[in-house]
Amino acid sequence: MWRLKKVCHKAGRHAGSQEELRLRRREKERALRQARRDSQLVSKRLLLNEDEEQDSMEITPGEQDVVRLLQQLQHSGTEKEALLGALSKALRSPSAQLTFIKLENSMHLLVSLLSGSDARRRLLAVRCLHELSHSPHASVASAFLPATPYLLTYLSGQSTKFTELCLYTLGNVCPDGEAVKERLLAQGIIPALASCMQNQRHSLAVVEAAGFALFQLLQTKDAAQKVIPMVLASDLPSLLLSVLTPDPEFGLAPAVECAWCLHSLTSSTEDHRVLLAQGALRKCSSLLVSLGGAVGDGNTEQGIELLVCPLLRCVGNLLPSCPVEALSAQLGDVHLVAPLCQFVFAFLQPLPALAREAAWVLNNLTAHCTESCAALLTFNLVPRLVELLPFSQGINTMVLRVLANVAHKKKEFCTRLAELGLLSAITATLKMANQDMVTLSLELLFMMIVNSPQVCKEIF
Amino acid sequence: PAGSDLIAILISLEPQEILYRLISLDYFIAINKVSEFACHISGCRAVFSTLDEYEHHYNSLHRHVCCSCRRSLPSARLLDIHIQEWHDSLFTILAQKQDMYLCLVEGCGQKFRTSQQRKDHLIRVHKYPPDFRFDKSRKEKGSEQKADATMEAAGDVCRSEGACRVMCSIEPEQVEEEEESMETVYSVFSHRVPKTVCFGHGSVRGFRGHRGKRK
Repeated sequence: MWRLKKVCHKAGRHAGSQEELRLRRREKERALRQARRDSQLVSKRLLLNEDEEQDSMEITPGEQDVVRLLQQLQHSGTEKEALLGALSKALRSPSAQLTFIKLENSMHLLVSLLSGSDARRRLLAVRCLHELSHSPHASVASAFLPATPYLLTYLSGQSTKFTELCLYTLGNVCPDGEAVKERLLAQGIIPALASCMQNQRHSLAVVEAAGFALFQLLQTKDAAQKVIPMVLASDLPSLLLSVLTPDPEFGLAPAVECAWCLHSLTSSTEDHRVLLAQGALRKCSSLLVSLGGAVGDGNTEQGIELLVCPLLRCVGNLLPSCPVEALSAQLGDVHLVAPLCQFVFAFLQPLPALAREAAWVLNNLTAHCTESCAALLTFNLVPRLVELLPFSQGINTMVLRVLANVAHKKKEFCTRLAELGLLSAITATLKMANQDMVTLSLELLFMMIVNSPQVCKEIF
Repeated sequence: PAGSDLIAILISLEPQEILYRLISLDYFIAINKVSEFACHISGCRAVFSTLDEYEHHYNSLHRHVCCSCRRSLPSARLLDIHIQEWHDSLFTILAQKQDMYLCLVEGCGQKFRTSQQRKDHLIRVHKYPPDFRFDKSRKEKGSEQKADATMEAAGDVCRSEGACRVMCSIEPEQVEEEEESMETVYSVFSHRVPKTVCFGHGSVRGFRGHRGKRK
């Protein structure tokens, strides 16, 4: 996965041995990918120091160290920085995190360092807060309330590493309870994220972090009513779209984060006018075209499915909202049919769920747009689609719907489909156990008989 | 980038930015030979061992600095607001007749007749704490030695009259924080730091170019 060295997910923290750690990390990543694809997922991120290797985990200090460190911090003069460094390491343990927030003036100390005039201490304080934000306990999040106005203010600053940490910290605590979310919204997190992405768009690490924070915000309860309208009214949609094309050197991560944000926006609401007006359909479609080419050629980066999935969902959701007359204007000369089929074929074995989603988008496209049906025939994609009819997991029903869409659009298409041998395929699908398949086959057969005399001749 | 591209980029930058980028380049090259290097801003004695540290220090403390009072603000927006409210006599005049104090939360846009009203708004509507560090009103200037560690002015900043304005500098390490005093341990390379940096006419404020009235 992208930035494996720098960003680790929660579960990798507390294993005993290195091997166990690695196994758990891999398992977590697999689960993460799966969960991300299937449903909305709330995850936490931990940004490691550059000089730390993820695998070199020392025995983490216990709760007593946290108490001791806090006392020393409250009384020391010159050693604050070393103490803060030790504290951030100590705060990796969940029990230490809980202990810390219950200590008197602990958060007050961190917040005063965060808002102080010493830049180095600000950075160390935010690192401690970042470790705290990683806590699985929701009670820790409510301890963050004093820190939020400062974290948000600093998003408009220019220090990249510092901004990254603020963003990941905010993203981690967002979903942990209504109080934090309400506070952040009241304090202007949405305009702050927009201006952060705007001012620091040259720094892809910051853009990735901002995308993460926004995604987390979009997963909160009632986001559709409380968050999304504000996001759509801001500059964020156009900013997200501008970052979608992956940078070859930096990697997929910022594009992935922004694509998932767009997915959250399109799937939570039915009013897509703002996104369509910003050219979201064209942008996502043209990106799918280039990704489809890469997938077809076999040069795919690790994790490319994490970019393909949200884009597919965006396009699939945006298509029905776009009036048919406007479709060609929106899509321009983007031909989606071929890349969509590429995805279906390429992901069939490794990721059948994703193949099904690509087929779903193809269904929405062909239902909506006659040109795409014609393109399916012109590019000779029908025989390959017919080959997919024996496959289960929802793929065959989706493919059959696509073919039915084609048959429905024009009479000549039915004739063409018959010429391509669809009838014999239907005789096979009529015998399947799956009831949906049988029903769809009958409907398709009916359309073909009604529309095309040649079909009648062939059958009888 | 190619030489001409580099020049084009440099020309398009503000003078301060040019210096910052040249310094970064310079120290990036030098970093293999020298284990520590110092901040180039006149009067600042901070020392670093990595470029990341320097970038953070510079961007946090030297970027959005008010040239009139040397205070460092966390963002360009807060700096703009600060200059308007503290150093712009036109603002003071207008504020007697209309709502001029802008809400600090970006996107809110509301204006208030007094800074106290704005503060109340921040607390009530935006749930800000009453002691938010970046919302000091001008009247509190005298009493803020201990409490406000953020916007402290520098001690011995160079000033010059006439056509030339000195670049802002700030010495955060000399600030009293909470109740302790900082020991300055950073004077190793201070002989390499130029005493003044001068960029010609007019008032330069952070990176924002020429704006605001000279006193």
